[in-house]
Amino acid sequence: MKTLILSFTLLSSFSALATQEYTPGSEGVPSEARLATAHSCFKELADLGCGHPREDVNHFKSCLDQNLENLTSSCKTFAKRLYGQD
Amino acid sequence: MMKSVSFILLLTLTVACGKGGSGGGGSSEAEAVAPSLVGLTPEKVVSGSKVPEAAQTFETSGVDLMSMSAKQEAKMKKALEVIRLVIATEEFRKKVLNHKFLGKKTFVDNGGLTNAEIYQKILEGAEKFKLSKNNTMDMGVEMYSDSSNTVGYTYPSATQIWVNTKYFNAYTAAGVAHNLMHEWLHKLGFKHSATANASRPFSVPYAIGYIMMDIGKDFL
Repeated sequence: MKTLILSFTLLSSFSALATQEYTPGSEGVPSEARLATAHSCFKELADLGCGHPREDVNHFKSCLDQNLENLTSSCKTFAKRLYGQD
Repeated sequence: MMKSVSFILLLTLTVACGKGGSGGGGSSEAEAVAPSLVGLTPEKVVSGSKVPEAAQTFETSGVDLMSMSAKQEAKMKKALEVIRLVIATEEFRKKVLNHKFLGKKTFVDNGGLTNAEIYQKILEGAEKFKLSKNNTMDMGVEMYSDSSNTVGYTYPSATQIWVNTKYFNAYTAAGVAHNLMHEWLHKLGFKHSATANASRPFSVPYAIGYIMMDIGKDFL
């Protein structure tokens, strides 16, 4: 009996699931406005020669630093939020 | 009866002492530290207005996509790219460092770690089954299909996670990044309540998963 209890205890400790349960809003769908702002800003920065962070995040950030004051207002806000430019 | 019980006990002990078992001695590999992590401390994580170098060098190349269709693999790769891009942002650093529960900068079920220590642990990428601070997300990912409300799961002793196609198919890459991050944080050793309660959303896997998804929307 003691062996049985020990077996089940050990089994349950190693079989314990760690799950993520669904919650509404976890689909990750951005609003159209947000998507448009992000796409527009990344394009603006790419046109300034900064590329995209997926290509080279160091170059992108350095270029963003140099061109921050040249950005449109919405892009400047977007970039400051993401990359904390002062 | 006693033979069956003895077999179960023997099997359990074998699993426990095997590689990746939570009761075992862990990996026998020498602990390697990625160059960008050298000198990184919780104090350095908090100070300054820019992310540490390790946030910019963080990689997801250690994720093994197992038995997936080309379409599933493409979406997973996009989600992994989202994770990499989000971790490189100052916004992610700030949101993790400033996360609050009941007005205090902390996470629920934090394992005794401060927010800065949790952020550092993410950058180190030392999963419980690997123990190597390689600045890389390492784990296997497998798909499964289930009608439950479970988005994904893992076991403490497993090196992989399982993702439910019911949600994977409907999620954006940011939503998938959310789930991958959540399950990977379990691989780092973070836990949460098994039942839905008021504090569970403030646990490390749930809260940082949400942060990942929210910022990830900017990279779709």
